[in-house]
Amino acid sequence: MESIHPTPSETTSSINKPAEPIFSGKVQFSGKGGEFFGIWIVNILLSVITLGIYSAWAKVRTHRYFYGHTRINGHSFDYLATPIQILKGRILAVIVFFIYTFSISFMPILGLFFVLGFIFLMPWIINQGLRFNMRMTRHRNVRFAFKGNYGEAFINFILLPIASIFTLYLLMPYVIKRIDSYIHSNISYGDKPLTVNLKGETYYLTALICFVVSSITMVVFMGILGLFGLNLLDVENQQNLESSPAMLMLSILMMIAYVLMIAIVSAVWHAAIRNHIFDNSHFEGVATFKSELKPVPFAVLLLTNMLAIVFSLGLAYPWTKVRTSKMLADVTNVTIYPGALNLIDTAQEQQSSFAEEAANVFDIDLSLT
Amino acid sequence: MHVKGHFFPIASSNYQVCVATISDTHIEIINDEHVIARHAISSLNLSSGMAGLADELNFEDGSRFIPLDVNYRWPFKANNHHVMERLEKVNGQF
Repeated sequence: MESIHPTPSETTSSINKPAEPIFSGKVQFSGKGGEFFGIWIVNILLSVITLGIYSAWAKVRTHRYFYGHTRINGHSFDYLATPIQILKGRILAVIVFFIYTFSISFMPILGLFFVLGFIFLMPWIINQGLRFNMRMTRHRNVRFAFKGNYGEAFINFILLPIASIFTLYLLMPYVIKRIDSYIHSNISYGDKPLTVNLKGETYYLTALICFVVSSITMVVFMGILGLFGLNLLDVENQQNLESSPAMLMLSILMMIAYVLMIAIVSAVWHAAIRNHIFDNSHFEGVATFKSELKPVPFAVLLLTNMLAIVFSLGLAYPWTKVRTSKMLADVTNVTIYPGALNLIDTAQEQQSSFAEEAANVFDIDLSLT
Repeated sequence: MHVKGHFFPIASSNYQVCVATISDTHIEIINDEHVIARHAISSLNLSSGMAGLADELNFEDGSRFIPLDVNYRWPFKANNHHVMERLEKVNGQF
């Protein structure tokens, strides 16, 4: 890792010169599987004992652990949400769910109104969730923010996905590109907005590659089945096989092929799109990014994660979370410019204003994850 | 007692490397022999610690002090602030 550490006074004197980076290097993740296992198991035990109430505290501790262990130039991220904010969001969701269940048991037609209402409420919920998560993320004492609006969110998350159905999903890569652009271009770090320039052709090309990869996986799978002498199209033969060991073998093979395909395709998609977003986003005068996530190692990681979770009956989950974060950090490069030392946390400055206080009424976590 | 760390003024990313000096009732943040902040320990917003993470201090005015030693724990914190960390540490050893 290459690193240059000027003092703040050194950087202020060079403010009018062409910006030289003050740091260029990888994101570091210092979390350990054993450490996170302790947090995770305590979270589960206390959540069970408290009938789920502790899960709000569990979410905060998990996020604090992962944010705190992710560092750029020695400075970690902070997760600022309080368990009460998370709990309020969950209580609200539970109340809405009970009202919905109670209402439709008496008047089923109300279900239709609920669905319609939910469709129109969805963009607001998404915006609220993104706004909350950004406001609760801090780096170098400066918070992130999200400034999306309802109209754009409604177009991107509701109208366009519905429209893509009528194009046999051919519009979907463009819709996903619009969603990614909407999310990222509305993020700001302190008083600096994130500049994003995503290209539709990258999304279409990646979708095509995913289609080819999944087709190849299926062809290979059919070939393997052929070697076993099984013919999926022979219905009569299948009925005879239903209780035989060959059928059991077929089911296992189908499951393996499906998991393999999902892992490969999601690795290809995730790697290409992540790299594209990072490579085409920057905070003007503050930071640029570069992601070099490779699909094959990432697919291997996803597959081995799945195997570890299955064979450990879930106990390996903390280890898989930590190694995934390590890999993602390791492939992410950040270049920091002097502007990073002069950022103002606008969210913190505005906190006393009435508008901000009013907005805080809905400053609760609605993501429910 | 002296603890080295980063001091972030309110709402700013412009940190200074400082030393925190603790007395019975107050904590002083000193940079280059100048006291740049002084807070009563009773006014500190204390959070529970986490394994491998610095035990940072959040002051009433929004400024923060983050010790460079991630394993350092403030002596004025009551034992109940460390309960979760200890519990998680014990379970993490299995």
